[in-house]
Amino acid sequence: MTEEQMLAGCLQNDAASQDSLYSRFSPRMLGVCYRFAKNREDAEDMLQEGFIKVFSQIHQYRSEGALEGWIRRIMVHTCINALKKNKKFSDCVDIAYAGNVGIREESIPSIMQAKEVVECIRSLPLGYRTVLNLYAIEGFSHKEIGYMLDIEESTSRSQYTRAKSMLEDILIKKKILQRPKEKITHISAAM
Amino acid sequence: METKNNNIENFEKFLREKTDEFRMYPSKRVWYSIYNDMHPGNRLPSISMTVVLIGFLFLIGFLNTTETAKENNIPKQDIASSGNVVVASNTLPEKNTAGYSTTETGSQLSSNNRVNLVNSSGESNPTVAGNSSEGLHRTTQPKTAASGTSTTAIAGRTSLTITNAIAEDATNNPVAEITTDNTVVLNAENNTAAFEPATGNPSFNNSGAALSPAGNDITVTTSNFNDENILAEKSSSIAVVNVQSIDLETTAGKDIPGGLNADKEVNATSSGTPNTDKQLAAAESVKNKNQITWKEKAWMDDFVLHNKPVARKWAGRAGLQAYITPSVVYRRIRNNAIDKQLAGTNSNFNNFNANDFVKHKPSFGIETGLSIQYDISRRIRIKAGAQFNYTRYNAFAYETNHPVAATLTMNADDNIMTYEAFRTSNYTNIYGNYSTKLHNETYQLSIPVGADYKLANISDNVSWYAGATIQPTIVLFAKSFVLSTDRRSYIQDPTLLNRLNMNAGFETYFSFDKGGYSLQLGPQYRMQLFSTNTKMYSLEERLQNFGVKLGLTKKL
Repeated sequence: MTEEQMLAGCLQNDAASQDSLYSRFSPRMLGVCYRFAKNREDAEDMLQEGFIKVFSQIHQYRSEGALEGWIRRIMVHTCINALKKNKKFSDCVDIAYAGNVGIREESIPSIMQAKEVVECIRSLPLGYRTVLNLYAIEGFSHKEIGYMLDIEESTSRSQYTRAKSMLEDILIKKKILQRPKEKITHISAAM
Repeated sequence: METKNNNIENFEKFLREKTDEFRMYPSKRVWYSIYNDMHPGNRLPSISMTVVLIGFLFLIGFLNTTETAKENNIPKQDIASSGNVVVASNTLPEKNTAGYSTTETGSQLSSNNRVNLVNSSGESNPTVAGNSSEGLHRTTQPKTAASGTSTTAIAGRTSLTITNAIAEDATNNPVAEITTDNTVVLNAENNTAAFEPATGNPSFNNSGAALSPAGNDITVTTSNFNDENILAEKSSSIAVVNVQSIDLETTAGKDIPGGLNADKEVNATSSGTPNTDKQLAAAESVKNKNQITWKEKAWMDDFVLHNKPVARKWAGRAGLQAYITPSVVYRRIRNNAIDKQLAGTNSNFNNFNANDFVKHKPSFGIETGLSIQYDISRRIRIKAGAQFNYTRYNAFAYETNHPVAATLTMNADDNIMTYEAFRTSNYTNIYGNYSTKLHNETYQLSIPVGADYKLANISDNVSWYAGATIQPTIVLFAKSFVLSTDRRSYIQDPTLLNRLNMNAGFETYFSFDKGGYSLQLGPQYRMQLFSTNTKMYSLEERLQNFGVKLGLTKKL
């Protein structure tokens, strides 16, 4: 079934078309939700809510961009809304709080690299993780992130800087990333 | 190694690439939920299948409980190759008597492997004894029944775990394991009192009957063991005190030649710790899950067993409905003269359509009643009740100051000819001193009996039904005017009234469910099957009601 056929079917609330669209995009979208969610169950709940939005608002899709991008945006917003329902979330994105949070390295499994990277991201504190997901992966600007999370733009920047640094350390420790040569040179020169 | 060459400058790009590669596959539940949300009228059958499955399990449980409750002696069980066998004994032995014995002999387990021995009553201690060579025995012996021995013949097994799943405390918590070298270890930490009465080491002999590989679950449930009897048992080969379950597990496909062969004795000790941490953890886990004490659970089991509530089979299916139907009432009139030709000679009007000579107008009616409804299936609902109807239509006429002679064409009793009956009337159809409006009205009591059929589920709470009823009716009171033969006069003659009648109702409606109530709203058509007047009168009148029914149903 082509994307056009799926869209036409979904516009008519056709179950087979919805199934096709769901089958095609749900694995990747669950991966998106998983990066934001606390656990797999929460991620599946987000996915479910997101796809219901997709199917019920499919008529708003203008075919101007990629369908996957449109669905992904809905998923990200669904995830953010789900996170914001948690009262602790606003505290987590607060810079002062996040600075004291340690890394749960023991929770990082080493299965596959993509999964490993995702798990490294998920090991970050919630506030860091959310900002990093939105900025580095989903491509939102700090201004947009500030608007989405009800935080200052500068807070978003700070969060991202710390998140990035923390994630780099984790990835280097896991030998997924290598420290840049200049940095090594700089360190050795300083010594 | 490619990724190791990535440096931090390409950090975002690297993250994006890696996360885009990441896939997770959601469970079926997610799609079912989405589907049900998007298509509420066509829910996937998961709910109904779940209900059927649960009902099936209840049925199995009920049948097994009933069977075993009838007999103290558990018959020989031959378990061929598959499935689960649940044997439950709920015997209540008399305290300190010797007649209680439930022995299961010769059961051949042809496979894998789970035997659960459950003592569901509290204070007592079941005894599993094995000395004979007849396959699997489960014996609960009183003091004097020392000869009742049992042997479990198990081959190809790796372990037998006996755990006290629900115990009052850790002191009565024996965990036993039969390993491949046929050693049973009962782990009853600090459990001294439980085993003291028993003499010697419990033994577990095997006759050599084989367990062929497959998967069998056996649950043996007994209630109200007499602990004194059990403790007095001297010849039990294995005394398991407060055993909640015996869990036998076999490594699939492994045939252990030396495992539990005949005449191999299995020793049990009443002290020590579980052989493995895993077993201890499992036992602790089960124990933690059951916060209630052994006595409490036993009491509850016993109470539930002997105080079964009477199942309300109709619960959730029955409903009581109150309804009201405002309606518009009219009538159909046709000539019912037996001898129309003769009637025609007697009157120039008799064979003409009466509607051409009268001016009748519909009026209002009302219907109200109570009915009991019962869902006999997912779509079909039967109902019966009692209802009251008021019907009325109007005849525009003239009233005279003096009586006018009038005739009625009547059908003779012989059903062959008609005759004229003479009356007088002050109401005419053609002329008079002043105009008036005659109300043809009836007060009826009916017993509607019928059924509704669910045509569709519009949404979660809204359904569309069609229904029909047949309504035996008694006319309590009527004020009915009949037309004279020449159609010029209206005559009131109560003797012509048909007191017993029959109506039929047809309706379609939408049902809105909310909580334990449902509101129904829809059109209804009710027609009278027999004439308002008796067969003697030559004009037949049938009332018709067109109404809107509003009903409120409470689920019972």
